[in-house]
Amino acid sequence: MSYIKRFFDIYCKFISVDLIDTFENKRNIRIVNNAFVVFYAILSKNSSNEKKEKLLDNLEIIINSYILNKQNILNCNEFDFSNTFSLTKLQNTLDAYALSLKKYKHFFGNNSLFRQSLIECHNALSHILAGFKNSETSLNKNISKANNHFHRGVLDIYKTIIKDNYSKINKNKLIELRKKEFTSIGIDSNENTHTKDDIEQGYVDLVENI
Amino acid sequence: METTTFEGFDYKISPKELVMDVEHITLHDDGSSVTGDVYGAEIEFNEEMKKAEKNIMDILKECE
Repeated sequence: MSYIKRFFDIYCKFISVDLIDTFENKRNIRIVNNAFVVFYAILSKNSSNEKKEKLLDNLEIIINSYILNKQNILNCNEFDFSNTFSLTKLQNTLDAYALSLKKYKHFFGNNSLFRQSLIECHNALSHILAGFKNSETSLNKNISKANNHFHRGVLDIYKTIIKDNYSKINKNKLIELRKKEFTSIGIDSNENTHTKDDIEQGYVDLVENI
Repeated sequence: METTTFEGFDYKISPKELVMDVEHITLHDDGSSVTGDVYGAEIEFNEEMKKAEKNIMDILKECE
């Protein structure tokens, strides 16, 4: 099994418990954060196979500990991890999400997690996992939907940084950006990547100038 | 690009830039230090999980 498929096999165990546990306890966002950094690193061309294995081993320890003695409502054996899928569309999205996390740490501290954005990350990973349940076509559609969630997670982070630094923000640029963002509501960001990228870059620029 | 031939992404942001201070994790519900609620104790991680999380961060530190 490839490292990517092993990742989703492990994340499936988390989701199979989280789907019901999240009603009793809030979603364990700290696990989602660990999952994202592992997912990001195993997709890097500079990560050795040894590092990928160790990262996945440690993520599995975290998730096995979380699911212990909790109700599991999915059968992860039903997912077809042999399906191949296109990853190309994910690179820019993951890079943008990683940059936003870096910015968040810069403004709020190197120990800070932001629930709202990590929920979008979890939704993105969930989409990809759900795609393994069906055909390869379904999988690739779910990857597009995952991109949308990562994009929302990026905007969540920049907006909260702006909110916290509102007095230092160029208001005219923010107003223009908000208008552009509003008029793009409902447009699938995968079909209009230009608008999506423009909006995302607009927020990046505002935060860069704080 | 298919997973069978995937050689990895050439990221702009290195995985090591995602390393966190996991000894003192805090969770921002709102995200804003002005208006948001910050919960530290809420994130349940037992000692085994914390150790594995630290291992992940240590590995990330060595990534290019």
